[in-house]
Amino acid sequence: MTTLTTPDFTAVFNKTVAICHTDENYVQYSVREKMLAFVFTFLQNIAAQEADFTASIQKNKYPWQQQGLKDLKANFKKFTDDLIFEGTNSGEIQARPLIANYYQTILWNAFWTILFFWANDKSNYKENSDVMVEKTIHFSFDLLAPNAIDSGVDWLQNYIKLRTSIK
Amino acid sequence: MTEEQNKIPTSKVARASSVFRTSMKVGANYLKHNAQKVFNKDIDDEELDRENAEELFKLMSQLKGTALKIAQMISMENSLPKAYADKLALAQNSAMALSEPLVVNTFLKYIGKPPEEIFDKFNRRAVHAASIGQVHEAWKNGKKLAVKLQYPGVADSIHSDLNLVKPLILRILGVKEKDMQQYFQEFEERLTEECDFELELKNGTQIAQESKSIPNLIIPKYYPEWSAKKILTMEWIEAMPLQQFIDTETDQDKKNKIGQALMDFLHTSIHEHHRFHADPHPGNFLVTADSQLVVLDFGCVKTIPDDFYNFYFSLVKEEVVNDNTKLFICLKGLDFLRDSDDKETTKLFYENALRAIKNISKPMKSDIFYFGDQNYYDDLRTHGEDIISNKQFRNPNALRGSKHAIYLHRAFFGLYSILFKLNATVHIDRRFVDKVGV
Repeated sequence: MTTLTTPDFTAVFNKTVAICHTDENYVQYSVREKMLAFVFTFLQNIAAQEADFTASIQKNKYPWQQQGLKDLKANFKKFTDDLIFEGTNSGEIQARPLIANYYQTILWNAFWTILFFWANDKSNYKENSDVMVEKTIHFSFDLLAPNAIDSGVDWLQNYIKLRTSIK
Repeated sequence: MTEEQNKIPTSKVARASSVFRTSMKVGANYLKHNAQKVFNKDIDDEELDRENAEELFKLMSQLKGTALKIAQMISMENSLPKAYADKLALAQNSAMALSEPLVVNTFLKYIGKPPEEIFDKFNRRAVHAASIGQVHEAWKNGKKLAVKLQYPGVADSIHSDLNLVKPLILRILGVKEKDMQQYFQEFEERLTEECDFELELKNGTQIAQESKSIPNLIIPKYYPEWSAKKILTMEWIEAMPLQQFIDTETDQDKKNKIGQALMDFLHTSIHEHHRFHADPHPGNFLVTADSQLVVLDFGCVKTIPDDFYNFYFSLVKEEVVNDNTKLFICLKGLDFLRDSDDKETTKLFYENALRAIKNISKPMKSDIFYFGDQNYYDDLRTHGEDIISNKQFRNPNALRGSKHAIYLHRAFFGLYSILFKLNATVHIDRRFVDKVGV
């Protein structure tokens, strides 16, 4: 029986970011695609040491109490900070007062959901995880993107403001 | 994300809920029907069948993958309204596109290198989408290539999709699951094979080799070195879709030439190799500028056993049809008749099996045949409808015919309806007739 070693999440994180940047298409990607590229690359990298990472992710009730995952969370948040900034500038992400503070949390939860799914995925070549990545990232970025609620709020603000003129 | 994408329920829960909705509607139709029956005893069950068929079909065109394939098959048998067949054709084209990072991920997973390292140039945006995958352009050593990528999770969902639609199919046909078992198994086998690109490559290469001598036929070359389980690389051939050729071409000689190539292609496969392209719908063929037929997609290839082949094609011979002993041996061999049948049942199945096989084999009885004949086409088409509307076929004992006949009929129906659309007159190579016999 092989013994499990503690996997190095920080090293994998750094490697993932480095690999993403070597792809010349990465710069032109939308922030949504950048996130997809990051997650796919991350999963490829942890697959090389699958048993260790799986054990670590599945560990007892509170896996994120491990130092490795705490570090990963911190690194991931820094990474998404940049993405959110970039997305807000390009118009892909809607800057909303107060709620915008939770964008990082939304993305981290999405990422953690994917990791947890991956660790328990028994499909061939873990192809179900690929489907999950696409669906989860699209869903979370759809939450962040400008949507009907934003234009609803915008409409309401304008209606209140302009209502006075029709009196 | 496009609107069509949002409409396709990809998760199992979404699929299950649309199936649930449809079964509710089917149930409601029964309720409505029975309530009407209380007051009006003459109401025919036919209307109910039609309503239910429509509900089922609406559902199937909404789901992707397996259900779509089954719906396609049903529509090939021409037992459903044309309006829904048209709707289905639309569903075929609106597929979920893979994101660029997932395209790269697929290459890394199955070949171990990103696409740009494998090819000199690769277009990460798909140029064409189909029911189970999408097609990308690539260039290598000055040659343009077509690279087909399979959507993840499609192969896995076949079994569960089939289980989802099973109860509805059983309800519509009014039969028990154990009687349908062998047919469901046949569907599942073919659909699973369709998701195996390594098998498709092997089949395509082999059939190309066997069809080498057929004039005006092109089968693209496959490249095993750049293919894997979910990736299939083949030669890119500049050509227009067959449907477009049918719609725009006015020169009947050119249409005949294409029809002849298609006929020769399928006949050679069926009669010489007993293994054939079982999915001949217009979407799987292209026509080049110099009127050559290009065959795509060897995902659905059916092999028929020798004894089935002999029983079936013996029925082309007049001497067999006119000799009752031989005829009954064949019909029993094909499971159209059973030893346990009483006189009435024998008559019913005898007549219908004979009509079906006579229709299909009619062109094989002459050296030259005109497929544009509306009467012949209608006869072929309406037989399926007659069977569905005939109440005598609504009992478990009525499920007849060897499972091998499904895909053989599908191939013939597909072939003949394309030839009808081409209004083609083709020569039939009848040499096979001398070789069959019982």
